[in-house]
Amino acid sequence: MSGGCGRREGAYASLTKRRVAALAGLATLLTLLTITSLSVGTATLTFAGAARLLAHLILPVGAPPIPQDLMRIVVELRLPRVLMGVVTGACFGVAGTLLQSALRNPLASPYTVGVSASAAFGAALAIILGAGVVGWFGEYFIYTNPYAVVANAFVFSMLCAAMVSALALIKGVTPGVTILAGISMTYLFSAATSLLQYFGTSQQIAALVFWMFGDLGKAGWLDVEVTAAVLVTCFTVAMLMSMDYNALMLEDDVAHSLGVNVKRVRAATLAMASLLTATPVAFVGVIGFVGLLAPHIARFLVGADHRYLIPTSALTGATLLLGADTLARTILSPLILPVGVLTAFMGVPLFLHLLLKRGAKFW
Amino acid sequence: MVILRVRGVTFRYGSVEALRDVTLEVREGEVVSIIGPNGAGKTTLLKCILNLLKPAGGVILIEPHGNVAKMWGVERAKLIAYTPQVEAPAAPFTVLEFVLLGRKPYVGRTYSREDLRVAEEILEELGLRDLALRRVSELSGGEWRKALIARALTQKPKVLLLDEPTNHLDLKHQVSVLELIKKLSRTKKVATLMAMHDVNLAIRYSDKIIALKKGRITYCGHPNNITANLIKELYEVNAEVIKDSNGVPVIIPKTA
Repeated sequence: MSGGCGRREGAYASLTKRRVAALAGLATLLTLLTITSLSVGTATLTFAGAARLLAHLILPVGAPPIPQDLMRIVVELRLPRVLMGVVTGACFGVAGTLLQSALRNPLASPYTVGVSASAAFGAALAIILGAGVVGWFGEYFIYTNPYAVVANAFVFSMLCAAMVSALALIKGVTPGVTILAGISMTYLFSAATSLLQYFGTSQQIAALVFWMFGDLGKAGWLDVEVTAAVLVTCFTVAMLMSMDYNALMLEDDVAHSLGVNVKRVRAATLAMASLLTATPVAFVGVIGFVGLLAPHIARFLVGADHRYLIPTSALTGATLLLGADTLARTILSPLILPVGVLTAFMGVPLFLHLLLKRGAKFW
Repeated sequence: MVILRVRGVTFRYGSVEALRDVTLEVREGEVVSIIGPNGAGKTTLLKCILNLLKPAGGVILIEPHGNVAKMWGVERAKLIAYTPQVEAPAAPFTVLEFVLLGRKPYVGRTYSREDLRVAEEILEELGLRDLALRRVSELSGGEWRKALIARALTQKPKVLLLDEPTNHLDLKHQVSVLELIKKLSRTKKVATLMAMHDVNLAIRYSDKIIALKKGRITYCGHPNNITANLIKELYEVNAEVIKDSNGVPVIIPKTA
């Protein structure tokens, strides 16, 4: 009747409407950004051309809309990079939301459980102790067996994450303890990586530093497919569990009183978030900040209901990372900057703005 | 009709005995307060009933559903609701969404029309209707406490466990929250058990008082029978007990 809430039944409906609108807006933005990102680069392609190409790839009817050689460049080089940006960003966005919710801490990010440092250690093991042999090719280092590095990075980050997740199952272990355990793992693995670097040749160290930078240009089609499969699986499970996450936003005792098995949900979620982080990190290296920022923007847009928050975080993460990578490819063209640098440069001002607007309330 | 039956419950934190042979009953529509000094075991008792803590001995029954310790989480959540002593407004939920969280034991992947109806009905009863779309972080202390109670009632419980429901509230809200609790316990036929620090408020709004000291029940009975001796024994404070115009005892603490 009054209070600006309209009819009560209308209240919930209007809430839902706003959220669906935010999701639709983000999806449109991401689509436009994808086309833009496909069109920029040294081989020229117009926005309309890129749009027609994308449509043709999704629904291959009629003749290809652009010349064969240009098409090959775009499909084999540019498209995997763009799609890797989308799926990696979405992975980080979802992982960030899951971690912040499972640990009930707005400062948590996918790297809180030690995933980045342990992945770097895995990569260092491969690069420096010889599981991957380093070569020199053009401007970039490549590895004769890059998947040795990828596998190592993945195995070690999952090992670290498994330890931190398993901690959450122990009686009396609070989210705060889990976060501290993750931070201490980060120190441990960083120290181990430093030790390896100490014994490495300058070429190996350069290769490792380059790996750690985080660069979507490393991604091939297989990487995109594997990451996308992980994303789809974890996203589906997370959506099925979204009501549990909503309850987990309350104190542990209260969530228990609502029938949620707090420890089990928390441990499973940490493991899932680790998988969502470790997979893309193994392929493209460490890219910071998207996993911390995307959930905050998403919460700002749609609130705390995970049925909307999880997809919004996915779209926000994808948009942020692809946007940063598109800029990284263009601002100093033909020089391509590491995307991780751009995510921080763009992300920090945005994050601070959000925080100041929100005042002392992190959530 | 007795709904909550606690029989001979004993609980230890390690070797420290926190509850010793606690037996009590709460009937349908009844409000029972547990009083006692800090560390007497009030919160521990509530947590045992919630099956958050597992008693070393004794049994807790919800009639006619049976032993709480043997229930599934969801089954228990449909019978017992709980508000803790301190709960910070978490995450940017609106009041309506926050109260809907109480439907967790009933929902699948989305809220049904029935869930919305229950939540809205309870918001209305607690006078929170106009705040439905407000963020919980923007509520005043009194509104927040009511939102907590609304969430608990949205669970449609048989037993309501409230830990210090007047914590951090001013006098006006202490009275209005307790009046709501008493009224809603009657109309919703809920057995309410609450831990209370303020003895005078407990006396005024409870059907029965249970005094707990060092994990043992030292008194169980009608609030009107509380004496200065009991207060002295319980809190180690000298007190004078006078009766107000309705014959309800009022406890006035004296300096030791």
